[in-house]
Amino acid sequence: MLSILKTVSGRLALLAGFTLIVGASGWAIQSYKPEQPIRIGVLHSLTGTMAVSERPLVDAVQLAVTEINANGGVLGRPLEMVVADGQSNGAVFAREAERLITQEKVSVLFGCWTSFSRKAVKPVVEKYRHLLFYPVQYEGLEQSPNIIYTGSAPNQQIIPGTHWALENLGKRVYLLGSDYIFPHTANRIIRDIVRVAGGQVLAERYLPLGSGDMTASVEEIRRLKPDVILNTINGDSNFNFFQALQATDAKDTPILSFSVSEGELAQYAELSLNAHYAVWSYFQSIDSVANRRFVADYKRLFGAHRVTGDPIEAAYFGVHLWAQAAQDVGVVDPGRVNNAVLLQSFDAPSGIVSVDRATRHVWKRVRIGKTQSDGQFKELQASLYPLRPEPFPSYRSNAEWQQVADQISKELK
Amino acid sequence: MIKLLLSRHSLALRLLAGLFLISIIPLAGVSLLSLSNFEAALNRMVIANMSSIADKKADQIDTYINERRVDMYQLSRFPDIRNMFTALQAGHDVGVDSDAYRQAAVRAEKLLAELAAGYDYYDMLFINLSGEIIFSLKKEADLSTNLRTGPYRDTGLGQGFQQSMALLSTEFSVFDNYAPSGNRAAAFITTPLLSNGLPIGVLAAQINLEILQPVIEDRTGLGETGEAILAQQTQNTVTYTSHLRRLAAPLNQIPIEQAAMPMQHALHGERGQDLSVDYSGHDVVAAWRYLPSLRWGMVVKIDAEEALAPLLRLRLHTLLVLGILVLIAGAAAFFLGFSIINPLHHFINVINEITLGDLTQRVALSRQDELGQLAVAFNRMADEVQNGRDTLEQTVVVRTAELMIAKTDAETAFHSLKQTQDTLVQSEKMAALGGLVAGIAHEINTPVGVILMSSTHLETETDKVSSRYQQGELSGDELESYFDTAGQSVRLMTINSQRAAELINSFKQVAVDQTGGERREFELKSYIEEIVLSLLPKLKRTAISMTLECPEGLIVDSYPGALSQILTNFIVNSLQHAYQPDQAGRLKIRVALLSDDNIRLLYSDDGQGIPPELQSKIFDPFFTTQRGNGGSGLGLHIVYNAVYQTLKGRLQMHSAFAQGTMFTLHFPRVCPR
Repeated sequence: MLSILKTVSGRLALLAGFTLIVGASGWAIQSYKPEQPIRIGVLHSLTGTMAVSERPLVDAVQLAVTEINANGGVLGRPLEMVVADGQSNGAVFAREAERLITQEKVSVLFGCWTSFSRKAVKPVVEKYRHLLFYPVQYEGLEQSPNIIYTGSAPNQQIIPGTHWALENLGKRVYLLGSDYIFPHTANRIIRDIVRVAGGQVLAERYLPLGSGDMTASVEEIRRLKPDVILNTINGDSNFNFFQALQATDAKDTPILSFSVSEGELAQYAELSLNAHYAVWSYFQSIDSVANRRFVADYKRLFGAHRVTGDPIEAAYFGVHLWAQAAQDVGVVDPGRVNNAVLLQSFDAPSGIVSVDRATRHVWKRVRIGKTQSDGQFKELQASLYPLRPEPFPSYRSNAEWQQVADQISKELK
Repeated sequence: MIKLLLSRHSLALRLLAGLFLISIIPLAGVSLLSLSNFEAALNRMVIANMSSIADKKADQIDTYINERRVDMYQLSRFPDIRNMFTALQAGHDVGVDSDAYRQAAVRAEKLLAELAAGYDYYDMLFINLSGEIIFSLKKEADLSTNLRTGPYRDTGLGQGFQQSMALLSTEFSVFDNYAPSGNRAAAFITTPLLSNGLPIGVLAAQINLEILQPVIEDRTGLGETGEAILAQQTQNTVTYTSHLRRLAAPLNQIPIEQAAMPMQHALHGERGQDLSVDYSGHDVVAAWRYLPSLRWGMVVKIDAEEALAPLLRLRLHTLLVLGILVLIAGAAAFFLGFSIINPLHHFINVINEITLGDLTQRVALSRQDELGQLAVAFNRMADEVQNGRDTLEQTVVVRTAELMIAKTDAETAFHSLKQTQDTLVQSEKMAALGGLVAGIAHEINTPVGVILMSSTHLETETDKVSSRYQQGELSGDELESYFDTAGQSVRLMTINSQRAAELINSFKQVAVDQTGGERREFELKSYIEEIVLSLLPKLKRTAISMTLECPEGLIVDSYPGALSQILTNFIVNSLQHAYQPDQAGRLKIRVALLSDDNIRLLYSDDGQGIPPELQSKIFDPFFTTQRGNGGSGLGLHIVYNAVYQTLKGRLQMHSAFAQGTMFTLHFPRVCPR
């Protein structure tokens, strides 16, 4: 071997070889990229009364993940979903959130629908200074430093929706909701708006979540003959209520629902809802390039019979906002991404959505639509621009709202 | 030197290339790698810088607007403000010229002017439940108009008022040209004044766009060429709300497709930062943001040329240093190459000189490296070669002398050998002639004996008759008997004399031919018969017969002596070698005229044949297997010479064990002269 060193060409060859090895190593170091996927937690009810509504949100996350991975992932790493089942049960949501964070080591959580599930997960993500993207419109009065709320705040749904209903459907309103925190709080806000508009709340009724017995409510509606029913029922009970009402002479009473989107309507195909309205930021029927592509991709991935809807869209663009933020800060650490998310905006199917850094909610448009026979909404009115999110509607101070919220949760206990 | 390097191009260029490969390529590789790393890092840094400036500006704008909203909301909660509104409303109900209104207005003016100055509000206004503007600091054309029904209901103020009333929200309108303020761009903050949860009116503040100028025009971190650009989109047109530095005239409205890409991104709600091109076509490092509170796009940018100036400088320096290093390395490679090529060239010259014969040439190279060692080794080898050649020359002289002596000796020996051979050939011929004479004597002996016996008998009878006659006793019968005897004897003598004469004549001819070698014309068959006849005495002593086949009247113009020697030797050889004593045999001579001038003579025996190992030697002179029995070994040699030299023919021999030997002789009928 050493004899090689004694010849000129041997030395040249050795040097050249050495150079090549060094160069190749340098190149290899340069081009080395860690390829292990980024794990993201998806926590929704796959079983129980909320499964019908929540399962499509897993698909929405899947669609965004597919798009992001097709474009090279985040920071050059693919996203890998770790899906957990909250079983429509707050305790399970809390347990699974903790498991996803501590055992599955996910970088972010996408999940929850009902406010009780969100309020169960909230202390967990706050404890671990983690990050949850919550994709559903809700009652507001909350702002966790570890949650990004991509659904509509009250001023983006409940308030303008109620205002529209009072202006267009009538001032005698009947409030019906599921018996948990969202409907109670929503109705509190609705009452404020009804009062301002000089309207009248005929009754405020609550049904247990998952309830099938609508007799009392339907009877009351027949009796009171409200101009409009402001419906905050969540989950399967909506079908029961619609069905029960259909069977009576009050079947043409206008209903404005706050938690019924295309996905739920698709389940109620046998019902003909001819006076059903909804207020959302997104409808599947939005006629824009971005939305047509979104709907087509969703159907292509999950089936032509599938429909999109506001929470689906909110779950979808939430993943994109998170991915943009992670890409911006160059890490997936929840603490770092959390701040960066506040700077993001995205051209979503519903239009431009921007995270509001003051409230951690999203600037969104408001749309009011009427249910068509095909289960789609026809847009009747829409805000020209995205509205600033106000989780604490600005006619009361945050402190006053907090009192309201505390009072409501006390009542519910 | 260059010419030298190039003329020896293969090794020199290879060395040069190799040295470049080793020195320059890694150097260039490392430089370019670090340059590209720096470029990437600088790009990232500059882009990140733009990004953070953009974020800061967006945050400043957002914070400003949000703070103004909160301020206004809080103002609306102050009892003083609400009382002020109530007083104004009460005075307004009486009439704008009433003292009540005036007094309320004066009080409001005093407080609100201070607030407006503190918050940089252009104007502050009160609007009552029905939408009428009942108070304004600036008292512009909008005062006393109705925001539900009047001309300004669709302005930011009008929309904000309606929203605040309906939704109890504090609204911040977009900036838009506001006619009452001389069409200056203005935005309005509207907040409801609540009494017992119900709106009783709205407090509004007007903010002019100039308020944002300090933020927009703050060029901290933007260098010489940086700027922040703001624009809003209405339908498909873009309206720039900030001054564009590169354009002398303000650019108002352009279609969105014509806006620079960063602004298009921003107005599409995208957030990003990258290298791009600005509205005037310059390469820039830009960050784009969507500002939801203004619904504006914002682009913060700096010319790439300025932002990446360190890179350009470093690139220049790197290339410069690389160039210098290339030159140095090239020179080093050149000299190193030369230090190898030059000695090699010297070597080649010396070797060429040595090749041409000058063995005294030596390589003059005093170095310690391999080339020096090679020179020493080469010179040692040249010494050896030179010594070796000197020794060789002496040896050659000695050997040449020795060879000359040996050659002379050999020539002498050869001459004497040749003489001896000639002598022997002559002797053999003489011996053959001697044999011939013996044969002649033997043949003639019989007729001469008969003649002698007849003459003796006749003499005896004649004497007897003669004495009787003289005695007279001669009878007729006796005489008659004598005459018979005499006649018989004379006849015998005559016959045998003729016979002897014939024999002598025949032998004479053969002998003459054999010894003389005269050329003449002769009839081939009868001549062969004469030869055979001359050999009959030898044949008679054996059991071997002889046959001859030859065309009649074939006249040959050649050397009959040679032919006689050939056949005699064939026959004598066959008799001597081919047969055991008393073995029966058959010799054949067959002659054929193959063409007009080509005669073939086949001679064969049916004896034991010539052993294969001897066949190649039988024509050699002095080759014989019967030296002890008087064989001279020249017979077939003579035959060979006779065939090739005298008859100008050719000869082949075939022989097989126990089958016999056959000679095939071809010779021309007319021998060439």
